[in-house]
Amino acid sequence: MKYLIVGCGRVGATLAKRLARGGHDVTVVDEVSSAFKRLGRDFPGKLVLGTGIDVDVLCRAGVEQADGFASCTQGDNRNIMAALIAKHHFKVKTVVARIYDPLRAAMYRDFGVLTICPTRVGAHLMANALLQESYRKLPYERNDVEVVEFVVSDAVAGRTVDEITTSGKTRVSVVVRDDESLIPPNDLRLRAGDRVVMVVAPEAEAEVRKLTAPAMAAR
Amino acid sequence: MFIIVVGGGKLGTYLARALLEAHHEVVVVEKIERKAQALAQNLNAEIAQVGDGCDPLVLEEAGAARADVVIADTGDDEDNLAICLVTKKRFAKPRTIARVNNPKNKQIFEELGIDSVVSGTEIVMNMVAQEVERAPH
Repeated sequence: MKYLIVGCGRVGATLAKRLARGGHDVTVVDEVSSAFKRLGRDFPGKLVLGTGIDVDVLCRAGVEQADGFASCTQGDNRNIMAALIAKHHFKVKTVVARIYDPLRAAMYRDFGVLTICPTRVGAHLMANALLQESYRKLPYERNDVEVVEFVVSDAVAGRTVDEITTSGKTRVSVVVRDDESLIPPNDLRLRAGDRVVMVVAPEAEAEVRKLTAPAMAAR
Repeated sequence: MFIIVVGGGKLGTYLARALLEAHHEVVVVEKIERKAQALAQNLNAEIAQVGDGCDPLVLEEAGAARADVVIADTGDDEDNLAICLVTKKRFAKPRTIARVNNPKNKQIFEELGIDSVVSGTEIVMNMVAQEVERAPH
C-alpha cells in the first residue's frame, strides 16, 4: 500500500519508519529538510520538501495514488487542512489527522477525517495508571462505542463469558488471567480477579459497571 | 448586522473601521494582546477581544451564536479554514467569509463549504496585470 505522511516530527518519523518496515511504499512531506534526519539513513521511502497544505506539493508527493494519508505536523489547523484536502479534493480513502484540542478533534470527525487526540489519549492512560481502578474506560477514538476493562468481582465469579454478555450490546474481547491474555471462548468461566476487556454500546454501560465491585482495586 | 472579524492585523483593522462606519456591530478577535490593544486605540472603540479565533470557546465568547457573519482574515490559510469550519460546525447561523493568502486554496475552501472565499493576492494580481496592459508601450 502507498501512504503519505505530512510532518516529519517524532510521531511522523516513527509512523513512517513503522509503515516502511511493514513493506509499504511511504512518502514523507516536511517543510524543513533537517527534519528528515529523524528517519535515519536507511529509510527506503520518498522525501518531499514543502508544506502539506499546498495542493502542488501534495501532488508531487503522489497524493493521487495514496491509499492512506496521515497529517502530524505541530499545528492542529495545518493538520486538519492537509487532511481535508487529501480527503475531499484528492479523495484519498483513509485519512487521519493528529488534533491536540479534544473539542476540535471530536468536531472534525464529522468532516470525514479520522482524528487522533493525543491529549485525550495521554490523559486517559495517565489517569488509568494513577488510579488503578477496578473499572475503567480504555481510550478508543469513537463516540458510539466504549471499550471498558473491569476486575471480576466475587459476585460475578463462576459465571461464563456468555452469561455476562448481552447479544448486540456487549462483547468480551479479552480476559487477562494470571498475567496472561486469553481470547475467551463463550463458555469460559470467570474467576474473581480476572480482568475483562469488553466492547460496550454506550446505553449498556451502566449494566456492565455492575459486574465489578466498586471497592476492589485492579492489579 | 453583527459581524465577527477574526484577525486584527492591518486588514482586520481597516475592515472593522469600514464596518463600524456602516453602522454594523463588530467584534474583532485577535490572538496577540498588543495588536488587540492597538486596534482598540486606532478605532477608538472597545471591540477587540483577545483570544485564538480557531478555538470554539473563544468564538462562543465573542458571540458567534448570534453573529450574522464571521470573517476569517488572518495571514494563515490553515487558521482561516479552521475558523470557518468551527463556525459552520458549531454555530448554525453565521455566514462564513474567508481570506485566502495562497490563491490555490480558493477552490479548496469552496469545496469544503466556506460560503465566500476572497483571494487578496488574486485580486491585486489581476489589477496589476490590467494596469500593465493599459500602460503605454
